[in-house]
Amino acid sequence: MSTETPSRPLTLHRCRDCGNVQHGWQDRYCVRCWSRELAEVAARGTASLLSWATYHSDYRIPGISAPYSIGLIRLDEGPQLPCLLAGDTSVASFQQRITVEAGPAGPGNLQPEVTGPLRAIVVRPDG
Amino acid sequence: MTGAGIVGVGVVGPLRHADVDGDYLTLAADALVAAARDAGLPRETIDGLVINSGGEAGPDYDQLATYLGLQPRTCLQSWAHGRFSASVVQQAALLVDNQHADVVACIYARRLGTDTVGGPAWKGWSEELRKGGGPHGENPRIGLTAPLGTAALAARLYANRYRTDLAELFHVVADARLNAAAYPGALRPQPIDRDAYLDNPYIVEPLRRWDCTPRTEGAVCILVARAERAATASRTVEIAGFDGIPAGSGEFIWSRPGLGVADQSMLEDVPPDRTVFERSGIEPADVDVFFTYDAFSPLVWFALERYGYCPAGAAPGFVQERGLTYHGGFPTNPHGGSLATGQLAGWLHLVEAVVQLRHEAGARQVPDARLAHYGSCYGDSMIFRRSG
Repeated sequence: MSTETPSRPLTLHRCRDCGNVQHGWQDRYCVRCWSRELAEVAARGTASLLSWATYHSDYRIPGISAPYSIGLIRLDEGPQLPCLLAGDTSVASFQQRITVEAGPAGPGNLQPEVTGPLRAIVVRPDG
Repeated sequence: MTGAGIVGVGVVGPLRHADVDGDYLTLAADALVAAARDAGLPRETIDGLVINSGGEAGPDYDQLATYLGLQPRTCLQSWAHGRFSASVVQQAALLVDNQHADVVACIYARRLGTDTVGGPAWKGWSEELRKGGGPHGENPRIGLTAPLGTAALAARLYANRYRTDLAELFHVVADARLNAAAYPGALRPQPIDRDAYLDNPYIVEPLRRWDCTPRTEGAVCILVARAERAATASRTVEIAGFDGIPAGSGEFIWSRPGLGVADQSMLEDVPPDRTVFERSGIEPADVDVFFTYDAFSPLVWFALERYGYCPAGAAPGFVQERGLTYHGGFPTNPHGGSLATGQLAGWLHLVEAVVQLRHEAGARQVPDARLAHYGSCYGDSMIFRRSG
């Protein structure tokens, strides 16, 4: 994974009125109560792995080539989102605990490491 | 029960890119002219036009009207994604049923350029970078591109939740091949055995090349009108009821509610989606032939469970035991579907529903088919009934 772009924490939005936590891109309205009182909060960086898939064909994304794996995670705060997986995906299992890192905005050098502990790389909605 | 029916159909394709003669406007025109002839209706009677995929993907409503000398007084055009196939026909039925138009031409036409959205050569990524992910959840900034990416995630999640061996997708693919063998022009009519399926290469693991539709082009026109408008009224297929395409956190394009893809909750399985049956006054057991959007093989499992043909997690066994061929226990996509015949979104499925209910399907005819259900895993749904 490139280290040229400083890593920033993944942000979520918490409703000040009802406490609902939602994706960072849902940044103006609370999806549960329609409040516009949302506060930006940093994600804790921990999640459960729900699914994963491995690309064996390239789709011409600059900075990444097959094989590489993606995942679907549920953050401990609740929201679910897709991710790039770094580390050894051969040991992936359903609802495995996984750490979450906010990666650099692509396209860029996205090629993940394929050894070591499994990690989820996500992107901030604002890049 | 609506007062509208399908009075004519026209098809061009599905064709490989190299075999297409003409641009998307010509394809659409060929399909429309064929449908008008099928219905025995003169051009002047067509007073409504609903387009599925305009913009860069296909003809726009005004282009096509000018190109063919049509004078429609009511036109609509949807987002350029195949998911709106049934929805377009539903809009036409609403126009007819509410007397805003007498005869509505529903059009889908597709040519694959070098920049097809989500395709291997797509460089724009504009849709994929919209807030919340692309039209199929794509996000190229994490390598998640092509509709297949999220379909693969959905398939693995299904296997994780229900402890399913995804090798059982073989039955979906193999039955589609057997159906396609009786469809002239099908692109994958060759039968396959389990070993051949398991040797087929992964594209996005756990899904293989044969779990994905071949990339094809073509056009479809479906004419919606009151039955009495058609010169061949006895061949009109009634639209008995429908349910539109849903959205929201419980829905995802390559899934069914309750599976847990995207923002779907997977805390518990949800009850079957019975809306279309209640609106049509029928029960699932009354359905003679089922049609479902099958760009990827797991979508067939998800659709069977969505509409309650089998319980959540039971689709692999249901498919293996009942069989999906036109002479099997649960005929599904008897034309071979997108998986084996070729991809014209859901449009070829809708045409085949008409052909089956007219009893004009020849070797692949489902015996005495009187009720057909088109229902995608993502929720748009229609019931068709044979006239008379």
